[in-house]
Amino acid sequence: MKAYSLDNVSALVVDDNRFMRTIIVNVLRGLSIHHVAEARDGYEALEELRATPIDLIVMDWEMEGMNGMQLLQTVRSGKRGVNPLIPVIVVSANTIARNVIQARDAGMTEFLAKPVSAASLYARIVSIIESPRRFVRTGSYFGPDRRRRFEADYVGPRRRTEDQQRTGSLDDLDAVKRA
Amino acid sequence: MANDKPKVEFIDNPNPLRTKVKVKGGDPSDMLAKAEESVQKLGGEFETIFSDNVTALAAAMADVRQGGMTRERALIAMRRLLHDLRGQAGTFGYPLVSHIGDSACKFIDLSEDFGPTETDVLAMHINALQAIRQAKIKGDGGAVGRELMDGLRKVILKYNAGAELD
Repeated sequence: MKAYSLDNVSALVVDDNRFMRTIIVNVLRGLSIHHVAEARDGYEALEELRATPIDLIVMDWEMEGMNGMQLLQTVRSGKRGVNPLIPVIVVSANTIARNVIQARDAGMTEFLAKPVSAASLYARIVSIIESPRRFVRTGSYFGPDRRRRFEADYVGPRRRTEDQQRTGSLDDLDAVKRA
Repeated sequence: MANDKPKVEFIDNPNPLRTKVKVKGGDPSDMLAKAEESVQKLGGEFETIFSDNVTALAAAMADVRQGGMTRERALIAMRRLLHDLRGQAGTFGYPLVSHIGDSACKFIDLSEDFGPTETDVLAMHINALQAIRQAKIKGDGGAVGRELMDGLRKVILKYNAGAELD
């Protein structure tokens, strides 16, 4: 993993637990991110996002007040004067699949399971820097492309409507696989 | 029907984060060690929080048993404390506390009804946390930690099978 100088990055930490905010702020400052703003819930976060240019959001998922899901949906909606393309790392101790899928489908950039460590949070930041994903807008989703890998010789099922139209039908895939 | 095809638009993200960082050269191990050290300085504060949360959990459970706080209110309060512990304890070298907090939160989340039997299962988790606090068990707790986790696992398996709890 490369060492990056993060001095010019400004981050926003959103968590309703004061001590958890302190942990994450300490990690970020230790990684040389000097400008770290804090918010106790989604409402405060939106205020902060309107008032300060923020490059990265690190947010909890289960929060009282406006929770992580509502905040992420609001950010990705681009309403309320917030940059909808901002990278968002969701940090949660609740790692059941349903929770992670909800966060993915609301447009998170990265998911970090607690416990938080300097190495685990830095790895997510590096992933955002080195492997940026284009954004996708469909009728029901706006956020980073949920497909992280692109395989030119992929022969599995194509689930997107446009893919199905391009290949004819899913039944035709057997012929593709045999070819 | 011609307009039924969902429109998909791709937007190349300019990735402003990339434009704000510089490669320093070398590996990041020194920087990570420094950041981790500044987090570990909070360990003493975590131990106080852990102790206070366990006291609050035991008090809430006692209140429920005496018919004071309603189960619903108590559950919300206890889940909050357990959720905080499972999220923070691992950072400070208490993975056993994280595991027990996680087990308790999942048990609450997956229980459709919360009656006396469910309260007993939750109480066993809180008792285990009290034992960890009293014996000052760090890390995975070795043999004692395994015994505590095995005990809770067996209780939950019995509960799932609909058997009587001891």
